[in-house]
Amino acid sequence: MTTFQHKRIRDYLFVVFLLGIPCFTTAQSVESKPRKSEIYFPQAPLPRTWRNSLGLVFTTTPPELTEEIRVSVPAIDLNFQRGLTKRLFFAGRFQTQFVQNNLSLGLRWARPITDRLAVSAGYDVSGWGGALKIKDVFSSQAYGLESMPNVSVGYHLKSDLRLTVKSEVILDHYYRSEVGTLAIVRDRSQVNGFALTVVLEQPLYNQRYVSAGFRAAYSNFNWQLWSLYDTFDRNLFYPQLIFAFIL
Amino acid sequence: MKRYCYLVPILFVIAFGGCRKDYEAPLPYTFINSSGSGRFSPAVRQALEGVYVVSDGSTQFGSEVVLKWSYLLEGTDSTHYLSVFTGLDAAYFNLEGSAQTDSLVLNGYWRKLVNADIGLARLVVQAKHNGRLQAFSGNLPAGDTLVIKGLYGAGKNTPSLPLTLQYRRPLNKKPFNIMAHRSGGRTADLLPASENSVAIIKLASRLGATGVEMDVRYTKDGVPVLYHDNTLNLRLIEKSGLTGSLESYTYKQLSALVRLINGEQIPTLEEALEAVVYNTGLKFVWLDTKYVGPMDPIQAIQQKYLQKARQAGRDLNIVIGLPTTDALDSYKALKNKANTPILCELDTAITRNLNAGIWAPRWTLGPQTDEVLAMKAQGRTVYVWTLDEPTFIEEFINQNKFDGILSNYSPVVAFYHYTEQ
Amino acid sequence: MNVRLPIINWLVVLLLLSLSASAQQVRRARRIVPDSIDTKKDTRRGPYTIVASAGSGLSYYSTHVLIPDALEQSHLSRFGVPASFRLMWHPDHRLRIGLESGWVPMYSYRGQITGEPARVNISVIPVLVVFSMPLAWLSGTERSVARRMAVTVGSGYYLNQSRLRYAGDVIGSKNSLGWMAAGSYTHPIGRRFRVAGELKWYDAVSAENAAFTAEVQLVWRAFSW
Repeated sequence: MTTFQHKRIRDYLFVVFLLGIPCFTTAQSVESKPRKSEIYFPQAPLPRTWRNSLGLVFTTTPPELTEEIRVSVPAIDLNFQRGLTKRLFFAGRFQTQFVQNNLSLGLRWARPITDRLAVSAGYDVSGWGGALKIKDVFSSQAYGLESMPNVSVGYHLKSDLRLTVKSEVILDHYYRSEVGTLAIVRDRSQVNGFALTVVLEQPLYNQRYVSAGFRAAYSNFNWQLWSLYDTFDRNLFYPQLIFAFIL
Repeated sequence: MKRYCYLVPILFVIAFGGCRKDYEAPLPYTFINSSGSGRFSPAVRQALEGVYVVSDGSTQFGSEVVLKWSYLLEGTDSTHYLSVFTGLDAAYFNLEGSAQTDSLVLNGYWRKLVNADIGLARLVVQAKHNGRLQAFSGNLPAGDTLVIKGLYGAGKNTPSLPLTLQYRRPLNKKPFNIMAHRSGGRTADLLPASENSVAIIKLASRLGATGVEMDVRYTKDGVPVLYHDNTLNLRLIEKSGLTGSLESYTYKQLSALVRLINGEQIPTLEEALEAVVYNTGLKFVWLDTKYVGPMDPIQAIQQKYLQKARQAGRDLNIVIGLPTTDALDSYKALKNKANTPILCELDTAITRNLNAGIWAPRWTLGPQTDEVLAMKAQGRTVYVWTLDEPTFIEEFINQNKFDGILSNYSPVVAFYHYTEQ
Repeated sequence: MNVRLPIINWLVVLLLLSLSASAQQVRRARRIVPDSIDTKKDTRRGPYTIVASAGSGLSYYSTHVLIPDALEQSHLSRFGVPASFRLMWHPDHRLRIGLESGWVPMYSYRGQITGEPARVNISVIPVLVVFSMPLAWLSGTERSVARRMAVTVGSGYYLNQSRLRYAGDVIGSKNSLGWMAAGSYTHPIGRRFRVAGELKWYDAVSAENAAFTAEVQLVWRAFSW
């Protein structure tokens, strides 16, 4: 089979996979209310129930790449998790900035250690893609595949406050960049960097819970800045502010 | 439990704090910069230039490298430097001939531009005769090959790792303009000189550049200076506290209180062009119009230095770059456009209307083969900017359609150009 | 792949939005006991309050200063008098959100450059989104000092300003992202008013301007609903 045919098959499989997602849809049990108070805290949602959050994540750009223009670029951040068994759950995350998106799908296994402390381990695979077509400036697109093995430790403080610390290793698996009719591909798996997330989850008003936190990522490449064509072989610091409403 | 609670603000402070790592690449080698060529006579230098195969050291520097000489002039004195350009991690060597008279020894340093790896290097030039190495006299009989053997190291450590280069073939002679961005390179690439400084203009040839691009702005009192960003900021200048747009400050204020990140003064355009004409062998200068306002003073300086170059017998072209419609308007407002070579970054229609000699589109638009060939058919030169991705540099050079590339990584462009067959 | 990638992007967006919408269906399921279940909460809403505060005090510039070599007989001052004001929303739980702004002097230096006097003043205007949490959960009891203490963190923009008086007068400004962290103690002095003491760290990251401030603030519980 030619590379082109491989590509087409991969694309179709991807679309079929996406269309299959609604098969996981729904089931809120009437007997036991699903938890709507955490997303990051290492505890599985009730089996066959969903747990979602919608918010924003702001990433500060490193000066090596954006130089004088130091901004915090926002992305819409959607988390969606579904309990599979008592301890195992599916964790998905979709971040979008419209011209570029990142979809992460993974599994996590969580268990309590004491009545306040809980841990989880997980593995997420994320695909990202972006396309820019601006007259006289860009005719480029890129996409790639990363994976993030992660471990979280959560502490449930008194008065409905949950603190979670999550550490991830970011691995790169595939990168393809196209400008006009030229394309380059890098498909060697390598360690891209690592990230540490600290999140507090608590009620904000009435019954509405929020996740508010900070993620410090040190990585060689960040998918949001693909269009800056980072050639620095250095881990750059990407601080991110996270704020989301748990739905 | 209480212990964990105190952790929260501490974690926040650590997380929010200045967690950025400051990278540095201090030069481990101090150049002697002795004028004259010593044992490296013009014939020896000519013989040394070429494409070499790397046997020892290929994991660090790749399987092939390019050797090229460049020079600096001070009055009538000339100092010669040998550069080695590689295709791996944008690595290059900067070497000078040793004063030793018994053999051809080169001392200097190597650096990888993609990260901060740097180290010392010491190489000896020899000839391989009947499979055996012997001193190179300056004449290379048929059947003999030049072999450069030596050691390189990490940081300031004494070189201990072997490096062996064997001559394979001469450099690609096709004319091509290797233009260094920001007068030589970016400050973020941790070069020994700041971007848009006279010091980096003098370094540009050693990085493989045959031309430079400079960013021109006006101070409040109308003095044209080289400075890229809109504002005074810590990316480019040492922290004096002063901030705001460069155009708010007079030249007197800037020269007294502002220093570039490596300690240099912000140069005036005239100082920069003076260095290009009288101190270097650079063939091309691209004056990028970062200012908004009348172009007349820049045109006057351009013509003055074109004249000076002619008088000094220099093969030098100085063009004014038009990146935006504002710059276009400033150019159109010039009363007399004779002897004012320009470069247009806008689309082909505008380039044709202006009858610009050079069209320079962004590399992110792709190879644009049809447009490029159409421009060249009209006798125009086509450059592409600012291309740093090594794999894309190789692709664009292999396209064989462009007349030059503007890059922060001139060593990479030099490598792919000179090794092309 | 030219046209397909944007299409796939939008397909993903639409699919996931429909996913969120459709995940609201209810159907009977096998009862499974999870590791822990929230007990049924009181669903009545507590009071929401808008709280405004303003304060002033002393600031100390705490990062490195580089006085240009050309300046002779230089004199540096790191102290200043800041002003800050905050507008906060106190909902019926612990976390409070608001906006903060003000003016914080950073440092100033003066001297002579070849006989001519020169003076530089640096200050910042923060515009931050702030989150605050009282520390009452530390001890859990009503009558502790801890319930009057709070931690505040914020992030946003700083407008860095410099004023140069040498061969002319130049005011320059540049935005910079940054953050803030503070600890405060609030004491009631009436039904609507409180007085607070706060120690703050302002950090305008890309301009490398950071200062400690110690402030006394007047806190006004403007209105509740």
